Amino acid sequence: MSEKLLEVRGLKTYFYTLKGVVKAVDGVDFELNKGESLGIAGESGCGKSTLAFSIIRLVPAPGRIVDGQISFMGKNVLDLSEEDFRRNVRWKGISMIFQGAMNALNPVYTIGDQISEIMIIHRNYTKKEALEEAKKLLEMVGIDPRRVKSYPHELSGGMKQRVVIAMALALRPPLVIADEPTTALDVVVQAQIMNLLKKLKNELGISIILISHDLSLIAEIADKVAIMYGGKIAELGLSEHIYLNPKHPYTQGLLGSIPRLKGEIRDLTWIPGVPPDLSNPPPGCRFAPRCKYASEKCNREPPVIEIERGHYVACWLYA
Amino acid sequence: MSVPPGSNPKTQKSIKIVQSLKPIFGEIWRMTPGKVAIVLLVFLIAMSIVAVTIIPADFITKWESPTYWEDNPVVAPPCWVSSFGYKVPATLQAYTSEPNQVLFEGNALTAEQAFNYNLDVDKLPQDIYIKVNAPLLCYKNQYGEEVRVTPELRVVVERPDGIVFEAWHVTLRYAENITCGSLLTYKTGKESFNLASLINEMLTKYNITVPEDIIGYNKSHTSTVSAILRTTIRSELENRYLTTPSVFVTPDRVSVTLRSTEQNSTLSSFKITLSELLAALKSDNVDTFSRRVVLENLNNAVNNITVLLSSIQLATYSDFVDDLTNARNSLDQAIKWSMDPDARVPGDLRTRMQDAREKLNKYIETITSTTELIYPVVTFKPLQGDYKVTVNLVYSGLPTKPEQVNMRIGFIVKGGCYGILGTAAKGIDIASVILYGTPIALLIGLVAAVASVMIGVVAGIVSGYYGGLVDEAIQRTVDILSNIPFLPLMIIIGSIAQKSFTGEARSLYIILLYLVILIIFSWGGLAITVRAMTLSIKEEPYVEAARALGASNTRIIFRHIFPQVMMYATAALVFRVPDAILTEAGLSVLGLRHGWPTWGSLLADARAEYRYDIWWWIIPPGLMLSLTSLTFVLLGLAIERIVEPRLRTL
Amino acid sequence: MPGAGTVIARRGLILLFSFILIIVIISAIIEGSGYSKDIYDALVRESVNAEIMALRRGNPNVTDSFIREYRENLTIYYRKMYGLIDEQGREIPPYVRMWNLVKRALTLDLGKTDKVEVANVVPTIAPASVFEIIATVLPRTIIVVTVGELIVVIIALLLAPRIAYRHGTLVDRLVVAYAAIFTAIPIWWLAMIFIQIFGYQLGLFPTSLRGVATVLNKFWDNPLLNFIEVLKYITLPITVFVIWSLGSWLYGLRAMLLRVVREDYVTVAKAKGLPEKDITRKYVLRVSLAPVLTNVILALASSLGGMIITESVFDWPGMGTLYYNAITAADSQTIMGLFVVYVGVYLIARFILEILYIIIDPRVRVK
Repeated sequence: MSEKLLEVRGLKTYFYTLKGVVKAVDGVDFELNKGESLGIAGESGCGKSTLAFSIIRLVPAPGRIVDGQISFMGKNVLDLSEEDFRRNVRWKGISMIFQGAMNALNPVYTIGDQISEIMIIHRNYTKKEALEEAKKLLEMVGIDPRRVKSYPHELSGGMKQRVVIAMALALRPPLVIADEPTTALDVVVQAQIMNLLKKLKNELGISIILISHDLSLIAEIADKVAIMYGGKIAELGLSEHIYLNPKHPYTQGLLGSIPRLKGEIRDLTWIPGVPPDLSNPPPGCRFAPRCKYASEKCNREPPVIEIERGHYVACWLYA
Repeated sequence: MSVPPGSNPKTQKSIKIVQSLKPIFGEIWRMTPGKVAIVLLVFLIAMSIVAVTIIPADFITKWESPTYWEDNPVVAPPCWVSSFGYKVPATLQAYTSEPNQVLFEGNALTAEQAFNYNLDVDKLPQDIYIKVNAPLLCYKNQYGEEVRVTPELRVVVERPDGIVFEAWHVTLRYAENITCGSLLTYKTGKESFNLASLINEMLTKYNITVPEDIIGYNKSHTSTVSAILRTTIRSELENRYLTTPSVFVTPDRVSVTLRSTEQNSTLSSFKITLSELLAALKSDNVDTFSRRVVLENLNNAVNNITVLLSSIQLATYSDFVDDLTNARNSLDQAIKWSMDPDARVPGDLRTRMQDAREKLNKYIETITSTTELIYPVVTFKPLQGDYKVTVNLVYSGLPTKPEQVNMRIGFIVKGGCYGILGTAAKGIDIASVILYGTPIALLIGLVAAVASVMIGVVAGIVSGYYGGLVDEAIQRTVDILSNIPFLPLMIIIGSIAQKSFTGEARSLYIILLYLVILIIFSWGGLAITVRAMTLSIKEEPYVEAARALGASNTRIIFRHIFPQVMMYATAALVFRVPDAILTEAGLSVLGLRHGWPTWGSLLADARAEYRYDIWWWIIPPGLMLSLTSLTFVLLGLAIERIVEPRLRTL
Repeated sequence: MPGAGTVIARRGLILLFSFILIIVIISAIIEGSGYSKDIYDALVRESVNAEIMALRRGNPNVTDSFIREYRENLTIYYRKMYGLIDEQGREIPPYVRMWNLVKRALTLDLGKTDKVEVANVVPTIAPASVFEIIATVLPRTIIVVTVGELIVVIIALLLAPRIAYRHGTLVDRLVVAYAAIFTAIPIWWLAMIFIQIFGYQLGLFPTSLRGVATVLNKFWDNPLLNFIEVLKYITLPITVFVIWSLGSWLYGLRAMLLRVVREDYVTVAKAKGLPEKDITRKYVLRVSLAPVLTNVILALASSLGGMIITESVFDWPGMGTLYYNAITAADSQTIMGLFVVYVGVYLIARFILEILYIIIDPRVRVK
């Protein structure tokens, strides 16, 4: 039995805006073992990025974690002081690969500076040692180490994304959260980045939480998949559960909208309607208004059913 | 298809525009800056309307002429300051066309008008005068000749202390070419003011005389001494009180002293001179009769002065004048006898005697006509109470009573305050200029802003949409314009304009020139932004779709690009309104005047006179400038937030 | 990709081209409008008078009739020399003459002024060289503007981050209100109000700053004492400048920081576990430096211009007061000279700031 790395229980992150409370993450539970990777999928605005920011406690204002617990390596990180969390968990424990590689790097410092400052802050390296380490990291992600003196604007989009990955791996943290690491990159570069992530995962044995709207990307890397809808997890299970035996009508809809190269030929489907307004979500099952199987009872909160071992679905169809 | 009655497409369109404006207005009103801006804007527009309706149209050309403001006190605070404890004499400008009384008696037509003024503070008004508009009357005598009858103006002042005196008594002079019946405006001035009469009355009333113990035994000197006193009072009233305001003064302290000891050195020098002469004449031992007479007289003169000197502390005016006169008389005798060849007085001694005599005589004249010896000090203070001023306009020698005589009599007391905002130099009424400045400011602000935004939008769209050479040209122009500082260029062109523009419309041309330069320099930034917007809109799929469907360039520009740019341009326009207003004011203050009654002109006057100590002169115009500017800044902020919701601060 | 040198050279060329172009345009306007007549007349009169003065001093017995003739000849000579008439005594047309004016402007040959009011700003005795007058007076303006601008930037850089983090609070709203109000108030009017309050009502500062000229002219006689004396004069204009420009600076900087604070790399820096002060320094302020400098460049024209009018209001004996006195004395010569120097100084200042910008922002270096 592998050890538990991350356990999220009943997590609620709300945004308090003038227009009302936006329940971006509203009671999410999942766990992740060491070395395992989790893919979180969902349409934009479903709360998957907020979930990621909640885990590293960087929910942007006016958002707040209002309830729940996040245990990382057995400790509830929500109980730590800001300073403790910064020193011990951020980047050392959980690092992050950000979406939109274009802006994740400070334009006025060299990439070497930006990678090495991590080691200087967290490991008390000297500037020189840190730069040496930065070169190694760059080499690891497939960038010529001589580029340490380059400024971000001198690199291509794919290279910048590699730098961001190198940065995330600087301290070899047990958990890396990758938030849409490949959006805004062209397909070839996307594949390169995904291959790099896969390689690093296997070589370094780190856990990855991959957040994406693209189920096919997640399929490449994830051991477990969580499907989020309207701030909640609709379905959670091993990759094979989700891809081969989707239970939730939303998951089915999502998978139905992906074209396949192999297998039988079928029509692509789509999900009618729009994602719910999280400041005023529908009562009960949030997918009900778009669900073709919706019935009376969907107005109540659906139960979470364990369909098979490790495969959970929140839907009245299976109650 | 039937069109519903009463609604043609055009009105529908305008209704649509109004309807689309309404929510925008509501949105602006909902934000605090927007609310403040709209309130201020309404206030400014109201002021402009009031200005245009109540102020005469020729104000714009006449406002700088000193005669326009003749009746106003100069640099006087507003009158409401008195309710804050700063007491100032009231200003009175009373005009009447119907005198209290018009009498025809014994061939004389007399118009009489009484005015009252109450001085209730311990300060003097700046001036007092009567202004009459009186016609030249004529009649035909028995020979059929035209006889011109000019009026006599008499102004009698009754003061609260009981003094009644005739302040003015003048005969109006009409130039030869003035025709019968036409009016002459006459203003009484200090030249014709009867100060002597006032002084006389005051001397009598307050019994101001030179004490007898100063004059001494010889009462015949009393008149010379009081002449000195009068002269002193006169010069004090003329110089310190500027003549006419003397109407309102009363003697405060009066003292007359004899400056005896101050005369010591002069007298001693006379004594020495004469003694030396005496010694010189004695030394040559000539002993003729004539010489003896000379010596004796000279000796007398020396004695006279010696006696005076020895008792100088006790000497009275009479002692001084009489002793010195005696001395001079003796000297005269001595000189007369020295002419006799028998006396054998050497020529140079004679000359010296004559010199001494001249000096002595001069000194006597000095002490009898100036304040050298008799030293009166008279100070005055304002006399509070009710003043009654009676104006008489008399035409004498008229055979018959004329049917109708149009005349106007005005009584002006320039007090220490004026109106609701006070006055500047030349008596300019600040409130009028503030009021009139409002429509001018709004007009030049809007004209410049609209023109600059129009050019900016057109240039930006053309540059972004068509690209190529036009784009390059526009971009380079903007680049160069942005490199050139605007102010020095404005100043040099402004000063050229000052010299080159002449004639009636000079002010207008100068202001237009300012606007043109301002516009040339201000469209660039907007053009660049609009160009960027156009470029991105041009690439939008729906625009490409429209183009694919065969929409013309004009259609794409007006249907797709223009509406999106418009909202942004509106914000830019509003932000630019203050530019022209502040530029005009700034240039005026820097000395580049244009001659219109603007707020900047008032401040420029304050700069020219360097009177920043006068708060009522500098605060109102600056405040109006700032408020107007603030109005548009706030309005711009509000519109900008609608255009770019991201800017909203909660 | 051109390097930094090329970028700088190109900017320099564009600025130089703008300078020459505007001088040419203004010269054309001056000649075209006949305004130049005053300038030339003053020049010729000045030169002729100087020679006649020298002649008189040399031989006191020279007769009036000789001087009259001498003056006529000299006038013709100088009219020729200044390019007003050709060898045959014919008037040279304006479109030819203007190049003369351009040449004199570009070589800073600004002539002399005989206006006493203008010379008094230095103070010196009229007639005096316009270039020398401007050269004495210019540093007095540069001191005020530079010191004022530096103080404003420092205060703004210290305050703005604190305000930006309190986005939407009362302090933040107050800053917005302050900025709106002081953008609306003309700076030179604020100066008048300050003289009224601190000069006349409270009597803390001199009401006219003209006196600083003599102190500055003999500054090195006793630098310490004179420095204190200068402080007495300079405090008011600098205070006015700082109070007035702080509003828009705080507002602009706050908006800029708000934008920067929301940038991804700031979140990344936080996720990296960097301490707050490192984030503020390296990720917020350092990144804002380039836009701050852009602001300085863009505000340069308006702050210089505002300061010119303000100086004239204060009677501070710098460019502003020189301008005021030249305008009121209708001294075309000095106005033209001021124009050339002002535009030149402005363009040089701009060029220096742009080089600084290129050094600060690595992105421009290769663009």
